[in-house]
Formats: sequence, C-alpha cells, structure tokens
Amino acid sequence: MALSSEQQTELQTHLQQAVVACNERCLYFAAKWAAELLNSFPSSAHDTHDDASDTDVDDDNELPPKTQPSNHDRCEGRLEAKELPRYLLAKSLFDCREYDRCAAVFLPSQVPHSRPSQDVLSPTKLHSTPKSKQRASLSVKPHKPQPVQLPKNLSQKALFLALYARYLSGEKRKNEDSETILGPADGPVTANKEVAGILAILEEYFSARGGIQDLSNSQGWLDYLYGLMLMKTKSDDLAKQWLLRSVNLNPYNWSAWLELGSLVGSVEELQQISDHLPQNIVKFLFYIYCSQELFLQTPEVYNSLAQMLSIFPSSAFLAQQKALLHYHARDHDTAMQIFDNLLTAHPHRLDGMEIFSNLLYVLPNRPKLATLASTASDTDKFRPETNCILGNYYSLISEHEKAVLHFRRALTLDRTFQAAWTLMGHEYIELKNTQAAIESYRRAVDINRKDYRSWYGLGQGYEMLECYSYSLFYYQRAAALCPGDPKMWAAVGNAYSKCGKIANAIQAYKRALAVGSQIDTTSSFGSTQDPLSQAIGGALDPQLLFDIALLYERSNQFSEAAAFMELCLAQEEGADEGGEEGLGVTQITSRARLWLAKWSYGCGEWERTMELANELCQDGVEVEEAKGLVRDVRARMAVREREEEEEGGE
Amino acid sequence: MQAYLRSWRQSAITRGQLETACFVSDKLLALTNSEEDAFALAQTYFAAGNYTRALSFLSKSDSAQTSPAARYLAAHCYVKQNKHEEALDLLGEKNPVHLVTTSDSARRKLQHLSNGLSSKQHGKSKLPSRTERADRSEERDREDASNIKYEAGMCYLRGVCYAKQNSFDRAKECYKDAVRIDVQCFEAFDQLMKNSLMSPGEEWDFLESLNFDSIQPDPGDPNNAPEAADFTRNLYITRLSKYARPDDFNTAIETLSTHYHLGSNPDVLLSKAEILFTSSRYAPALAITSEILEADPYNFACMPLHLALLHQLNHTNALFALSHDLADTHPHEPCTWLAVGTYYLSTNRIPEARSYFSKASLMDPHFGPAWIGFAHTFAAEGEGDQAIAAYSTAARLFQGTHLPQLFLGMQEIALGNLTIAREYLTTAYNLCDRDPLLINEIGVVAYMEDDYTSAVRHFLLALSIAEDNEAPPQQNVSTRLNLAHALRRAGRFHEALEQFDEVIRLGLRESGVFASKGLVLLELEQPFDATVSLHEALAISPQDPIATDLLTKSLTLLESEGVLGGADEEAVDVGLRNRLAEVRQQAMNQSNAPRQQRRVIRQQEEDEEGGDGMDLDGTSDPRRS
Repeated sequence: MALSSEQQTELQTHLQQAVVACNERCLYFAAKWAAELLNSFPSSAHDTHDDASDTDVDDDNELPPKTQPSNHDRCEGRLEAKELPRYLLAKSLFDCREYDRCAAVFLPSQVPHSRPSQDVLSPTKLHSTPKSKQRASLSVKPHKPQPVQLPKNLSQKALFLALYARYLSGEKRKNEDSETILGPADGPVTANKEVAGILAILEEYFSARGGIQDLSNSQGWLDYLYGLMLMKTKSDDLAKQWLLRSVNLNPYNWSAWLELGSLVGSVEELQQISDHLPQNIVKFLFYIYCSQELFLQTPEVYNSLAQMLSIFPSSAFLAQQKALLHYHARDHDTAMQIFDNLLTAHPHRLDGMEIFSNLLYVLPNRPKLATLASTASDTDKFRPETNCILGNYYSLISEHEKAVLHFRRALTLDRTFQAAWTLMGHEYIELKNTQAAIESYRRAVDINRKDYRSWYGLGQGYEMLECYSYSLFYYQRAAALCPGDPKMWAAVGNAYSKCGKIANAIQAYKRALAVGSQIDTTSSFGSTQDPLSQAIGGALDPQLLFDIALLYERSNQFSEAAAFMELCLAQEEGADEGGEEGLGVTQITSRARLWLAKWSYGCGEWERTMELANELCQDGVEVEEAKGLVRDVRARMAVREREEEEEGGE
Repeated sequence: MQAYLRSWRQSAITRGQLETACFVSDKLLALTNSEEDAFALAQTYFAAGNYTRALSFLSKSDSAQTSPAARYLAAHCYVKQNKHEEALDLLGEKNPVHLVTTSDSARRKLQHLSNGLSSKQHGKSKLPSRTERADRSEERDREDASNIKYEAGMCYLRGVCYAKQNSFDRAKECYKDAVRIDVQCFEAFDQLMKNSLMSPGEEWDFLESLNFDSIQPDPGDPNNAPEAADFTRNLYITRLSKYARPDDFNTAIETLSTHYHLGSNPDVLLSKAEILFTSSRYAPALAITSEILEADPYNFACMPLHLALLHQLNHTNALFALSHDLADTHPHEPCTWLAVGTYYLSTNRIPEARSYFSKASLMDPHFGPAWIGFAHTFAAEGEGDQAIAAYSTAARLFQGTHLPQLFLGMQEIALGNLTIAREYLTTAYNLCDRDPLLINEIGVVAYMEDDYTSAVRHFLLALSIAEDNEAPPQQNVSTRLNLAHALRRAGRFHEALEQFDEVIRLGLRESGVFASKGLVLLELEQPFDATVSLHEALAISPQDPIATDLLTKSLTLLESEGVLGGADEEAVDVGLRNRLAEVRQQAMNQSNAPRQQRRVIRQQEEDEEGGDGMDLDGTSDPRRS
C-alpha cells in the first residue's frame, strides 16, 4: 500500500501538527513517537527536502501557523490567544517540572486563611489617609467569591495542561510517599491523591458540554486525560469509551492509543473496538501494536506490518514491533537480526531494548548482552531500560543479588516499568525468596494484565508455597493469554491434579498435547489456526502422555492409562511412517515401559512383560526392578509350563 | 454652665474618653442633683466598667424602682458582675407578656379578629384572650417606645440569668419574649440562634410570628417602614438554621445582596458559607470564610466554621499557623483554644486536643463547638461512655440542634445499643429532617436490625437529599457504600454491584469495598470476576482475613471449571485414539530387531543431550520466552 505523494504530504502535515500539539501539551512521549514516525518516510522524500534546502526553509516557516487552524473552534483560538502569556508561563513551569506552580497558573488553588496578612494590621496602614480609604473599601469587596471550582473561559489546551500538571504532581508525591521498592508503603496502598479532584473537574466540564455523546465540543485531549483518570479508578469500561472518543477526535495522540491498548485484554475485545476506531493510518499501527501485545501471529498482522513498513521504511517503532512479533513466534534469529539492525540505525535509542536483552538472555548470547549493556550504560545509566539490561546480564552470569539491585534501580526510576517487575520476580524465584517474587509479579500484572510470564511466575510462586488453587488460577490466566504454549497448559494440568480435579487435569494436559504437536508441525509454516480443529499430528510430548496416563491410573481407568503409556512408548519411534524420527529412549519412556511391564504382568501377559522387561534391561534403566520382574515372570511361566505339562501329562 | 458640661460630657463619651465623661458627669450631678443626671453618671460608670459605682448611684435614687431604663441598667450591672440572683430579684420573674406584639396582632387590630397568640396562650379560651388582646394593644400603644425597648432588654437579661443558672427552657422563653416585645432586640435573637435553643422548624415558626411591622425606622418618614421591616426580616433569616427551607434563605440572601449590596458583608457571607457547609461543599465554603477572615482577621463568629472547614479539608498547616496567631493575640478567647484543640485533633494527638477543648469549654461553658470537640476526642479513642456523657452535656446546652443527638446515636450504634440509638436518632430527626448524615445513620440502624428494605430506602433518601444540596458525590461515598451493602444483604445483587462500582469510581480504595464486590460477584456466580476483585482487595491490604477466605472459596469454585469445550475435547480424544491405533498397528507390523538397533544408537545421543522434556517443577523454563 504505497501512498500517493499528496497523501504522503497530508500525512506529513498531520504528523507535524501532532508533534507540535503534543509538545504544547507536554505529552513528550506522544510527541517523540509522532516525530519518529515523521522522519521515517522513504528516503526519497527526504532527499528532495535536502536538495531544495533553500526553499524548504521558507516552507518550514509557513508550517508553524498551521497549528492555528487546528483549533477548528474559533472560540478556542480566541481564548488561547487571550491567555497566551499565562500559557507560556505554565508551559515553562511544566518544563522545569514545577507541576504545582504550573497547575496553579490556570487553576489557582484556594489558600485557606491561616493568619492575618501583615498589611491589614500594620499601624502604617491606619495612619495614612489614602490607605484608610482603601481599608474602608475592604468591607465592600467588589469581587464575589466563586464557589464554582472550575474557572470559566479556559481554553481546552490550558485546562489540559493544568490538570495534567496536577496529575503529574500527584504522581510525584505518590512516588515520594511510596518510599522503597516493595516496602510497606509501596503498591496500591499509596494512591495518587489528585485523581479524584481531576475527575470531578473533568466530569463537571464534560457534563456541562453535553457528556460523552456530543463530539463537537472537544479536541480529544481532555477526553484522553479523563480516560486516564478513569483507568486509575478502575472504571475500565468507561475509560475505554472515553479513550475511544479521544482517539476518534484526535488520532495522532499516541499516548491515548497506548492507554487504549493497555485496556484491550483479549483478541475479542480488539475485534470489538476496531469498529469504533477511526479509519486512518494510526489505526493500523495500533492494530499491529495490540496484536503484538496479545501474542497474535496471524498473517493479517504480518501483512499490515509489511504495508506500514512500506510507508515508513525507517521507522524504529515498526521495526521494534516486527522484532517483537518474531520473538513471540520464537523465531529468535530473525528477531535478533532486526534488533541488531535497529541498534545500528539508532545507537542511542533505548526504547524496547530490555526486550532485546531478554532475547539475548534466552538464546543465550552473553557477549552480545554484555555489549548491549555497555552501549546502554554509555547512553544513559539512569534509564530503567539500561538497568534492566544490566540486571539481565548479571542474572545470566548468575549474580542474582546484583541483578535484583539493578532491577530495583530500574523501578526506582520508574515504578510503572513492567518488565523490571517481571524480571525481578524471576530473580527472587532464583533466590528462593518466594514472597518477594510473588509481590513483584503481582505488581507486574497490575501494570500490564497481558503479561503471561508474570502470571506464570505467580503460579510458580504459589506452587512453591503449595497453594495449589492459587497457582491454578494464575496458570489459567497465563494459558488464556498464551494459548499456543503447551507449557502453560501443562502447568494448568499439573495444578488441577494437585487440586485433585483429575478430569480437568486430563483435559488440560490433552490441550497441552494438542497445542504442542501443533507447534511442531506448523511452526515452519508460520501460521496458527485454532490448534484443536486439526487432528493430532506430529510428535507428542512423552512427559505429557506419561502424566495423562498416571492421572488415568489415579482415577482407576487403567485401560486408558495403558493406552497413553503405549502412546508414550511409541514416541521413541517416529510419529508416522513419514520418516520423522522419534525421540529414542528417555527416562520417561523407560518409566512408561516399566509401568507397562508391570501392567501386563498384572494382566497376566507374560510374554509382553518379558519383552518389555528385557528391553528395560537392555537400555540399562530401572534394571533392578526389571530384573525382578523377569525373574518373577520366568517363575510364573515355569509354573504355567509345568501346569501345562501337567495338563498335558494328564 | 450646665449646657456646657452636658455638651462636654457628650463629646467625651462619643470620643470614648470615659474618665473625662465621669469627671464631667460627676460635676453636672453636683450642680443639678437631678435624677436624670444621676442616671447619666451611672451610665457613664457602666460604660467605663465600674459596675459597682454605677449601681451605688442607681440605688441612691429611687428611680431604679420606677424607670425601666434605670432598672435595666441596674440589672445589667448585676449581670456584668455575675450576680445573677440579685439581677433576677431586681427584674422579677415575670415577663411583661402584655407588651408582646405578633405578626398576627397587627393584622388583627384592623380586623378585630383574634385567634391564638404566642404558643403559650393556646390553651386558654377564646373569649378572655380577645379581651386581653384588646387591652394589650392599647397598653402597648400607651407605653413609651423607648420603655418598650428597655422592657425587652430586661427580658433578655432575665434570659441571660436563667441561662447562667442552666434553666434553658425558661431562658429560651425569656429570649423569645424579648424579641416578641421588641423585634429589634437583636441580642436576644442572637442568643437564641447562637445557642441553637430552637429546632429549625421552631425557628421558622418563631420568625413568622414576629411582628416586623412594629419597626419604626424614622418617625418622619412612615413610608420607609415596610421596607425596613422586610430588610430586618431578611437579615434575621440569614441567622436561622440552614437545614430548613433553603429556598427562602436564598431569596433573603439574594435580596440583601442585590438591593442593599450586603453581598460581601461578613455576616451574610458567613451564612452563605454555613449553607455550603451543611451541604458538604467544603472547598467553596472555605473560600468564603477565608475571604471573611482576610477582611476581618478576628471575626470570632466565623472562626468555628473556619476551623471546622480546615479540619475537614485537612489543612493542618493553616490550622497550626492560625492557632499560633490566635494564641498570641487573643489568649482569653475560647475560640483560640478551640483552634488549638482542632489542630491537635487533626494531627491525631487526642489527649492534647482534649485538654485544649476542655480549656475552651471552661472559659465559656456555653461554647458549643468546644463541647462537641471535647466529646469527639473521647469518641476518637473509642471511649463510648465518656463520649456519651460529653455529648449529653452538649445536647442539654443546645436543645435546638440535632447534632449532639446524632452523635449520641452514632455512639450508641458503635456500642451496639440499637434501640437507644434509634431513640436518639428519632429525636434528632424531629429536630431536623434534612441532614443526609442523620438519615444515613438511621439507615445504618435499620441495616443492623436486618431491615434491609428500610435501610435501602433511607440511604437512597440521604443520597437524594445530598444531590438536592448539590454536594459533590465524593462526600457521600460512605452513604453509597452503605447502600451497596444494604442492597447486597437484601439480595439485589445487580444493583449492589452497580453501587460498588460507583463507589470505586468515586475513589474509595479500601480492601473492604473490593472484598464486598467480590462477595457479590460470588453470589452472582461469577467466580472469575470475583477472584479479580478479591485480588484487588488483597493488593491493598494483604492480610485481610475476609478477602483471603473469600478468595479461597472462589478459587475452589474456579477449580471445578474445565478448560476445554466439549467439542474440542472430543476432537482431541479422537485424534489421540487414532494415533494409538496407528501405534498399535505399527507395533504389529514391525519386527523387533531393527527397532532395537535404532534404539541403542539414539540412546547415546540422548545421554549427551541430557534429560529433556517438560520440567514442570523447575523454576525458570518459560522465562523470558
């Protein structure tokens, strides 16, 4: 899907306006995102820009006024012009991170009377005659107190900036109150105290302007803030509506899309909201982002990614998404290659690099991880991403204490940095500090509900604490998020069996089996349909088969158990005649063989028992028991022969 | 010479040079030796604070017995010296009710109709009352206008004496008669209102019964009279309790501020702030009180409300600064120590708070806020009995306000004495039926008596009143939470769920809320959502036993839920069965020998690789994948 040149220019204009508008509202990250995108059009477009450098300067000069027409509402424009000096002050204060002062520029907070101001009481005031006149006027003050919280005649931009600053100052205070990571005051106990006030103001503001239905009166920024606040108060459905409204009104605010994305918990939900999304290019980007977050691997995702890459060939954002998609598909080599390219193209870009370090950890590729760590440290030592990379590095060389230290540092820098919470959970598991691990994972899923690794980690933690019904719940959440991973289902099955729900456990294991065989057969094609719609093909995991068999044994369904043991045994061979190779003899298959041997012994099938036991002796596994069986069977067979002889004799 | 001395005295008095005035008056009396000048000298001494000397001059002449002015002054001197017995002796116990004028009487005079007088006379038969009435209006006409004012003043002093002797009913009647005799006797009206001697309904009835037409602003211009009457009435309305008839109140304020530009007068502002306070709009109320105090830093009428607002909005710093300033400038004002006590209460230092509240109430035993604060300190420490004792004192002192009764009811609820609590709350409800907090408490009693329909009704009523008051919804979160609980207990789970969600949306983040929401979801058989909600509860308070119990329960419910749909299950089973058949077939077909070989070879490879497969108990397998 190539864009015509007009379309491209239009898109560029939109993006340019978006950068300016986001910057005006101090949404730095959204501005960065839009600016990155703006600079990732095909290089030919850039070249023409570079060639005509002289004339372009003029063009650029014409651009800033274009922000004016973006206020389609005339009235807004007038208001903004009127409050420009105050706005500039507020913006500067915001940039200096004096959030409270910034908010007070437009929303002055009432300072309650505490002690009389000096000039009211000072004797000089009583002496001089002109001032005494003034004093008389004190009793008849011209201005009336405004019981209304919200000053009228504020432009949306000013209101947004003020409320946003208030929110950030609340966040800052919350951070200060939370004290140490995982300390007693850390976590949901300390909340942002400003949220309620901001919500009240926005509610008043919007209800005065026709509520959620009336789209005409908003530019979408305040809607975004409202949605954000609603998310903080756990009203997700409402928040989703407002964020949808925001992205419809103003599609180039990537922050709103991100928040919306964090509310999308499943593929169905994504489908649901996609009807309500604006039809433009950002929607595609959002779709790619969400699919990546939801671990979707459909061809459509790859298609639209390719399309977008044709429009924005040098977009780091898209490259990162692509790498993540491949990483989730366990296509580690491609993912690594993309990350490598990304790093060469943008050596100082740290966004998402913690995932690269995860990839390098999994591979494992220590030298590369070390290089990445030092590059990141050179760029900025005090970025959460850097500290995550360092933590991963230390974890890889088994210095878990140091790793925890770095993850903690990452979290001190940004408590909402979810990757660090998850990774810290892993480290605590390594350090056998289950409680801390559980707490870390819990914080991770609080921040991002779609992170199946943390759910899985929570399950593990509780399993170690022997709280099986808890671990079952977490494994289920993990499996629901990542249904294509047999480990999740196996874990669910294991938890079910620990809870004594054998039928469910068998179901879960079977699902793991189905999913597992699917991966083997289809991963080469790169597409996953519903794994269960296809018959079971490919190799089956003998461990799972063995577990299923044991569960059937526990529920006294011995023939079923025997069937699964046989299946397990069969995995030594290739799956089909189709030339696929089997696994050979393993610990598990030997145990299955032993079980089968005992089973056929119990059934009185002496020949089969002999055969299996002999195989066991050959393989050198469980030799003692096998030999015992052989002896026993021989004796029995001898007895039988004798009996037969006797019968014959008779 | 007399004229000269008189003008000298007059100018000295207006300039506030009382020593001079005393000196001049003394000489004047010596010159004329008239009763009039003796009285004037006594008045001057009174103004200078020499009550005993004033008394001695008054008693020398026999005017104290005859002229109401002198009697009033003498009684006032006694009251100032805290000699209430003597004052009462001098004043007599009977109010001059024959001078009472009511709003009806003015009309009745024209129509020659009589029907019911002040509330006291209701029992009497009609005939005598009519004759009385005729007499009275004539008597009143006969009395000198200034004498009437003195009579009203004496009624007021009588009330003060009774109040000091703690007989509030008689004091109340005296004050009421004082205002009835002279509508402009604001002192008495102020006492009635300040000490909340009447319930909001009574106050309005009383105000209606007052005859404002008797006001004669300027004898020269009778056209002014109706306007002045109206003006005074509006001024008085602003002093009434804010719980009843907010509309009338608003019109009064409106008239005062638009017609007379009294919109920024401290008293009018204060009543505005009070109405905001009663409807829980604290921030704007605080803005108004701050404005009043900016203009008039030591407006002690405004101070208790300002302190309450600062406490409510948690401005401890402002409380600290304010109480220090007051302690420096006004150490003899009970309000100062109320401020200090409030500061300690806000910072949760209860014993200190108690000692300062008690200091304030010792300085002025009739200082209501101090008594309430004193009782609050006991309540804050959970000492129910002592709190009840203290609240009872407050209830005795301030019969007209429902607040002490309400607090008593709350204490009894806390102690579990529901019947007694209900009695107190009913009393409070009879005094005031528009306070959402009170109705909330009645709902709580109903809830605790397991009468959930009634509880739900009360909570809804409280919420609708709050809505009428335009109170911010954040202030009523607890009522809404109560409503949610009541709905839950009443089995209306869907509605309860809505209310819980609303409560959470309003920003109440307590583990109990989430736990209860989880419980409702469990009742609705949605164990998954329940689990999520219970997790949120435990995230806030990890040790919450109820949430833990519920979570275990809901997880157990979840355990029995399968993971696969039936159809899927079957497909998998069929697939597996086919595979099994294949395997058996293979085993039948294949000979043993080649298999053995293959196995041996592959086993070595396997050994090198090490045991693979699923390591379920292992720790780090799917990490970072």
